[in-house]
Amino acid sequence: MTTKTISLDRPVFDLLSEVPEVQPVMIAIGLDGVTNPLLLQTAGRFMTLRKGAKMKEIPLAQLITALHNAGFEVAEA
Amino acid sequence: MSAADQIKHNAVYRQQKIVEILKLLHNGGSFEKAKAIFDETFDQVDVAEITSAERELIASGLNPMEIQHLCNVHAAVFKGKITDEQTTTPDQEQPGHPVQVLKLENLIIGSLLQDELLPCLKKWQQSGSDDVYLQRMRKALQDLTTIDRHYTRKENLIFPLMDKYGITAPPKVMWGVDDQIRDLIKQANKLVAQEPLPDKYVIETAIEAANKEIKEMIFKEEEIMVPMVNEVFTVADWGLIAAESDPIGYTLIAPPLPWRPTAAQLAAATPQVDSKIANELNEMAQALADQQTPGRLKIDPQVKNYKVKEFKEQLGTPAPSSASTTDTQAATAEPDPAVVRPDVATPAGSSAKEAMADYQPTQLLLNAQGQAQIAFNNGQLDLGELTGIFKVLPVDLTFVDANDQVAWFSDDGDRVFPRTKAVVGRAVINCHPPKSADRVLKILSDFHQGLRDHADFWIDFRGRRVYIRYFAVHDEQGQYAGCLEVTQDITKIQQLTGQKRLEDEPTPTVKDPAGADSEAGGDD
Repeated sequence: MTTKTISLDRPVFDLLSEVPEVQPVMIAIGLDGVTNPLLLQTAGRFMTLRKGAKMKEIPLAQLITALHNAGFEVAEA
Repeated sequence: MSAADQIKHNAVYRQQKIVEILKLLHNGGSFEKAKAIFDETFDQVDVAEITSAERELIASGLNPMEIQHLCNVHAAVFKGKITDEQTTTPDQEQPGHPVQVLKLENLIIGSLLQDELLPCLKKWQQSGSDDVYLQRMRKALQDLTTIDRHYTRKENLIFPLMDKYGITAPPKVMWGVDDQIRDLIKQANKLVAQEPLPDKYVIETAIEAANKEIKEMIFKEEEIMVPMVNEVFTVADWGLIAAESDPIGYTLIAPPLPWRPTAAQLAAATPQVDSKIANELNEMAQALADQQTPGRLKIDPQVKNYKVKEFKEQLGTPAPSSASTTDTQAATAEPDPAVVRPDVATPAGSSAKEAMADYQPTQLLLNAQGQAQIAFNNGQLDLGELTGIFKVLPVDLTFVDANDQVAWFSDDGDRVFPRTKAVVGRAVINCHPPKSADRVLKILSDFHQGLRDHADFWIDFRGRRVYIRYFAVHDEQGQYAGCLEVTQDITKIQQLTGQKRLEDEPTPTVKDPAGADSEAGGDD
């Protein structure tokens, strides 16, 4: 199994279309806006993991750790 | 000319230029032109000099609010200078552009939280019984309630346009959070005003909850909503938003400059619908609309038949006897009147029936001058008269058509609830906070089905007692035509006591017209 690489700056709509298994990780850490499909299809084109973390005041390191623990690589640039 | 004279001359010259710039901007002149004059005049001076010129202007009686506008220009110009590649200021950073205004308000709101409310809260918690900090918290929380205007502008001006472009979910969600924030602020205000004061911890929790949500909303507005609407809004859309903003008002800032798109921008404005995202959004909107059409509120055909029949009876014209099948159908299909029969005013007595017999349906006439006259059963009005009447009616009217979309509203310049042109064509369900959507739908569905013909409410709103009534409107054939909202400020009406009769009017005295004028003027 290859590990999937997640970019912090991709729109979450694109991200979840490609890697839907990230969604539970996002919800667990508090980025729960993605549970509304209509919101995901609209605002999700402008929201990124980095923006979401900043908005919800979740330390970036904490987000990255959560993604690592769930078995994802994180591309930070 | 002595050196001193020259300085003085320059100072006067600069002041003149500043006034010239302000005048230009207030008359809706181009920002770039104002900037050019500014650059030309102030290129050689430093910030301190501008500041002192501004101070002089205030001392010489210029309204400080005007100065604030100048500071905006000044800031924009200064910004252009430090990022050298930028020769023109982007539209959305120009003073008065709705995005600039939104961000400026957010800056002030953020600062009110960060630099005043939270530090005061902290110091008050540490200080035992220091009343100064408590007073400052009360003041800050009071100021925070004006966030309502920021949100109301967004909800009434930006959201309708987002709807129009098929972005429907984010406004709904955001509106829900806006309302939540309004409640949190109200809650915090209540707590700090309570006697005896609740536990400090309770107050801290309330303030921090409000702070968190407000900050998150600022982020959503600027980082998500603005980029999103920039995919679809045209420069004309922004112009409409700017033009309609003043009546709603602003949060903690002076009314901004009247930004408006230039003729060239409007001419060049190809809607940005060629963008990929805009296309996708439009497709989504279309798909949603297609989905909704079959599920639309349907008029019960039985009730409709019944209503049409009833209406024709009122008019004195018997239901068409030629179609006897229709009659029998209607008879067998007639629903139990006790259940369905709406409370429609029926003419009392036979004289009313006779009057209905020569009822003239409304029609359009052209008078000798070729002007349109609307001929109602009881007389004629031309368009000017009709417009004038709607302007002075002491109630605010909003009409929602049979498709539940806002079709029209009356405007006397002082509506209880702000309405703006952006709302026309908007689905009425999106014009209400999500929390009341279910109830609005129920009333409309009852109107469509003929289950009731009005719904009345009275509320206290911003210190006024407001009477809000909704009426089902039917056309002359008895078909449902829409819903009329009638809103009235009844504060003064409720306070009326005794009577004021014509006899109580001052007796007109035969005076020269000037004297009569001044008397009328002093009446209020």
